[in-house]
Parts: sequence; C-alpha cells; structure tokens
Amino acid sequence: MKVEPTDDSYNKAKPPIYRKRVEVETINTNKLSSEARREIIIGGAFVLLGTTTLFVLVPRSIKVPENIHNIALSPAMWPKAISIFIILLGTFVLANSFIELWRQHKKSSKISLNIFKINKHFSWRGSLAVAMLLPYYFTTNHFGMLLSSVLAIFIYMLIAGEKNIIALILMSLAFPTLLTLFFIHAAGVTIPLGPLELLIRG
Amino acid sequence: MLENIYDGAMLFFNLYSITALATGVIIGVFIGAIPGMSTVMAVAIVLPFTFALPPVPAILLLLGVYKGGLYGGSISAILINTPGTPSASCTMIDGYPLAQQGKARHALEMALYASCFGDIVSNIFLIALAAWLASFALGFGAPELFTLVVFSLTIVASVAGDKISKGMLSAALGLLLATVGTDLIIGSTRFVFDVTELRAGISLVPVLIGLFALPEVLKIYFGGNNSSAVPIKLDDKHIKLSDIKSVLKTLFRGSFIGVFLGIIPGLGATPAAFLSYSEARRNSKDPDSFGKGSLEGVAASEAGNSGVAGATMIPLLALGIPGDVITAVVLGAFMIHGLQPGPLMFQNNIDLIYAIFIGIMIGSVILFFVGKAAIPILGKLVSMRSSLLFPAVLVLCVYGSYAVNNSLFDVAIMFTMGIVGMVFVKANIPLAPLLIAFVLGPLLENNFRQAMLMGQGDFSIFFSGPITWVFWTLTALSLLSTIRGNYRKRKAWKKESVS
Repeated sequence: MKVEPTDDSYNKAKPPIYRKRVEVETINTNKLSSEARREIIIGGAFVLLGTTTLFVLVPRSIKVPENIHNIALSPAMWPKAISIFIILLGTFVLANSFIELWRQHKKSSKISLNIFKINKHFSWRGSLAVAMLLPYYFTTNHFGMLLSSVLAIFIYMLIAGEKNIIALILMSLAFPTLLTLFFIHAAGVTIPLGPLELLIRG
Repeated sequence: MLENIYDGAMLFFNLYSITALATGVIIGVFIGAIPGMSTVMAVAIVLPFTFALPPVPAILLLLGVYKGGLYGGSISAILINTPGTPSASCTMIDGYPLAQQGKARHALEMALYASCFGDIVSNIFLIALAAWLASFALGFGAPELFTLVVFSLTIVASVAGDKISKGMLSAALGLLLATVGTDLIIGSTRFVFDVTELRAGISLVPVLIGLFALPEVLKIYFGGNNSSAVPIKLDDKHIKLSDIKSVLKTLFRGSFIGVFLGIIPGLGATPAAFLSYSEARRNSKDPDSFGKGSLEGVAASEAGNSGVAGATMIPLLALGIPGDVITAVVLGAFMIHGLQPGPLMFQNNIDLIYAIFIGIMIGSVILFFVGKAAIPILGKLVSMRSSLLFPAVLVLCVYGSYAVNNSLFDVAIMFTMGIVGMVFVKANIPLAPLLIAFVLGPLLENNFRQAMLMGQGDFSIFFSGPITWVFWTLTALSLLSTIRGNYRKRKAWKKESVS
C-alpha cells in the first residue's frame, strides 16, 4: 500500500482514525528504512572483514609451503574459502538491504538514502561500562587480579546506580576476596596478586 | 551391558559426582530464577570451575546447571511476570495470573513437577536412542562426517535468527575464528602474528564467556535487564495429587514434543514450550482458561521446555554434534577433559556414558528436592538488585577466563569477544551460530581436508555414498524450509505493517 505524505495540513483535513493510520504507516516505514540502513552497515562491515582477511591477513600470516600440490594440504585453503563465503554473503546482505532502502525511498521521498542516518541512542553509562574494561585489564596486569577486581566491582556498581554505601563496600571487598581464595586454594589456579602476593599466599 | 552399567555406577556413586550434580542443579535453579541471567550464561560462568574436577563430575555439574536453569526460569516468570530464561516466557502466560489469584505456590509446584516429569521422559529417550544412533554412526568416514557437520551448521545458523543471512554470517565468523592457531595437517601457523598465546588457537571458554555472559552484564548499563519488580507473596496452599492427575495427558504430550524438538539441532526449549502450550490449549476441555491462570498451561509449557534437556544430548553423545549453545559448551567441557563425544566414545568410554546416564536420571530427582526446598528462598532472590548482581558477574567472568590457561591474554580475548557480542546484540545478529561454528569448525575443516586427501583432490568423494546423499538432501531441505519460512514471516510482517 502506498504511504501517504505526512504533511500536517493534509492530515488535519482527514478524520482522526485516518491520521492515526498515517502515523502508524510512517513509523513502520521509518522502522523498515532504519533496519535497512543498519543492515547495509552490517553487510558492508562483513564485506570489509572478508576482503581484509582474504587479501591482507591470509597472505601475511599464513605461509604455504611451495611443494604443496593437493589443495587439501594447503593451510590457507580453508581461511580463503571462509573469507570468500563472508564476502559473498556480506554482498548479498548489502545489496538486499540497499534495494529495500531504495524501495522505501521510492515510496516516500522523506526516506533518506543516507545510510548513516540511523537512530542513535547514546548511553553514557553503557559507553563508560565498555570503556572501563580497558583500565580493568591493565590494572590487572600491574596490580594483580584481586586489587583491580575490588576497584572494578566498586566502580561498576556505582555506574549501575547502586546507592547503598554499605552494600557497595561489603560486596566490592568480600566477593573478589572469596573468589580469589577459592581459585587459589580450592581450584589450584595461580591468580596474579601483585602487591598482595605475600599477604594472601604467605 | 550389565558390566558397563556397574562400571558407570562405580564412576558416578562418589562424593565428587553427587556433590557436583547437586551443586549444578542449585546454581542452575538460582541463576535461572534471576531475570536477565540466562542458563547459557550460568553454564559459561560455571565451566571454568570444572577444570579442577574429574570428567564425570565436571560434565554432571554443567548438566545440573542446565536442568536447574530450565526450571529456575519459571520462578521469576510466575512471581514477577518476567521470565528468568527465554524458555520460561510461555510459563508466564498462565503462571503470573495464577500468582495474582493467590495461587503462586500452586503454579510454582506445578512448574516443578512438570519440569521433573519432562526431564525424566527426556532422559529415558536419551538412554534408549543415543547408543542406537551411535552404533549407526560408527561406519561414518571423513566425507560422511563432513556432510553431517554441514547439515548441523545450516540448521543451527538458519534457526538462530530471524534472518538466515545474518545467522550464516555469524557462523562464518565462528569458522574463521576457529582457524586461528597451528594447522593440524602440516603444522604451519595461521593468523598468529607472532603472538605466542595464539599458537594453540583461541580457547573456547573466553569466547563463550565473552559472547554469552559479558553482553548480559553490559546490557544493564545500556538500559536493559533492570528488574526492580516486587514479587508476589507465596501462599500456603500446596498442589494436590488430583491436580497432577488432571494434567497427566498434557505432561506426556508436552514431554514428547520437547523430546522431538530437542533431538533436532538448533530448535531448543523455547519453541518446544510454545508448541506444547498451543497443543495443550487445542486439546483442553477448557481452552478459555488458558492465559487467565490455567494450571494445565503451566504444566504444558514446563513439560515442553524440560523435555528438551535430555534430548539435546542425543546428537551430542551419539554423533558429537551439539544441538544448541548449551550442548556446545558441554562438548567443550568434554574436549577440555580430553574426551571427544561421538560413536567412538560408546566403544572406548562406555563406563563414562553410563555414569552420565545415571547422573542425569538422579539429577531429575535432585531437581525435585532442590526446587521444592528453594521455592520460599527464590521468592526473595528474584527481586535482587541488578546493580549488585551484574558487577559481581563481571568479576566472575574475568576470573573464569583467566583460570583456563592461567593467562591474562584469555581475559583480553574475553573482553574483545564481549564487545563483539554486544555489537552483535545491538545489530540483531544471532550469537549462537558463531559459538556453534567455532566449536564445530575444526571438525568441519579436518574432515573436509581428510576426505579431500582420501579422494586425491576430487570433490566427488563428498557424494560417494548413500549417507552423504542423505545429509546433502537434509541440508538442502533445511535451507529451503528456512528460506521459505523467513520469506513468509517477512511477507506477513510487511503486510501487518501496512494494514
């Protein structure tokens, strides 16, 4: 069904039920076009990944002995086959989504062909939580797993919105300590402890 | 046969195995009950704790978590109208209205009985069918195994998401990741880039934790998984024997549906619960009560989703093919302990197979007692704040990833895969095909290359026997039916969006 233009003056002349239907159609069209844009990016990303793997990573990281005549013996054969598969499938997703977006654009000129026009919901908590993984990893390298985990659990609880200060302190101290003791004494895993090495292992 | 059962019993009846199984069930029930914490996540977190255990307790610990998780999900579904696991979403339809009517304990007990019933029926099928299927698969060579893995991959990739292409892209990435490390046939390295840790390949555990646990943790910071619902209080009225008798037919039907769908790789517990529910409603004397608080509805969905548990183990134990993500993890656990599930295991480690069979049967009994004892405690647990819970899970992920090889490099892999997992979740790309392809990748490649060597580079070896033709036909049928299903779904969705 053809999508009607959503011009206000045009709609105001129509009965409320009709206006409601036009609103729903607009939302659905936006949803379809937004999904198509997202899939174009996904397809493009996979085509890029496949191409980089096939033409850069495979030649640079896999040495194929010269005396190999049987295709099955080549260590590069399988990664190359998968890369080609990724490129083909990525191209299919890309083309399919582009056709879908073009179809939406033809239905309603308000639908932009700009593929980067996607709904952006910025979440500072989410971005901070992802970004904090990096310092967590590096502090583990330098100060051991226990100290960094105490700090990490405290910060992550704060970002998650925990306000009970007693719960914050108790949880961040007790949980990593118990876990460390379990892994060292029950599972026999050598947990890196950094400056606490002497204190915990004695 | 009797000797093998005796050996299996000797392997199972020790403190380690029974404690591991009971602990697994308890962990599964508790984690499954917490909204936002899936059974897969529970299995992923528990896996590193199995390294220090012998193979039988290690596998039973994971299977215990699986069984417990299937029931645990129903608790939050009934008490706070939020399913703990996706498969419990069907239980919610009648469970929550029952709780609102002051029959929360009724609903919880019916869910428990139905879960145990479905689980036992499923286990019986596992014991009866796995050995038969394994004896059939003993004659498989490299070409047959290759076509079998191709079939498993297509079915898993195609049912995992609403779009077949995205599922297959996810699986292709899993296959690519599986090639990292040293090539087994001529011993040269691939995608190693002078990083010593990568020579042995990417470990399964960090990939698994990164894909299935870390995104769940990160989701709460992006605004998901925040549950602060107040659970409905439990009453003192217990379920009667007559209530169970009245739904016996539904329990059997639901369990059989669960078993049937469980054997097919990739389908899992959620469709089984919904199919069982719709069949129960169709055959019910009082179909109008469904959705308004019907005990029969709760029984149907729980029997359906629990009937899957044992059945998914059939292709795993008999053919070495995981039917879903959890069995892929169990396959990983077998491998970590130097065992390769499949037909040869029924010849070389039959005592271990019987120990697992005994363990899973006893696990159903343990689930019954744990579930019954835990009902009052779980009522409080389901409302636990995610701000306390999920940061602790993050720390568990770090310790668990490190414990595999005592390597911080694995922690880095876990973080990377976690971010990849989060991107996939946001982009609506299914994660399950990636993991299953990552697990099956080496099997696929090795059998392909071995078959090519056998056939001296001639591709016709993959069409040389009747078994390969059977698997090619099944692969084609599975792909065609998925493409058709997706086309219909998309058409219906488009029609719906314009009408």
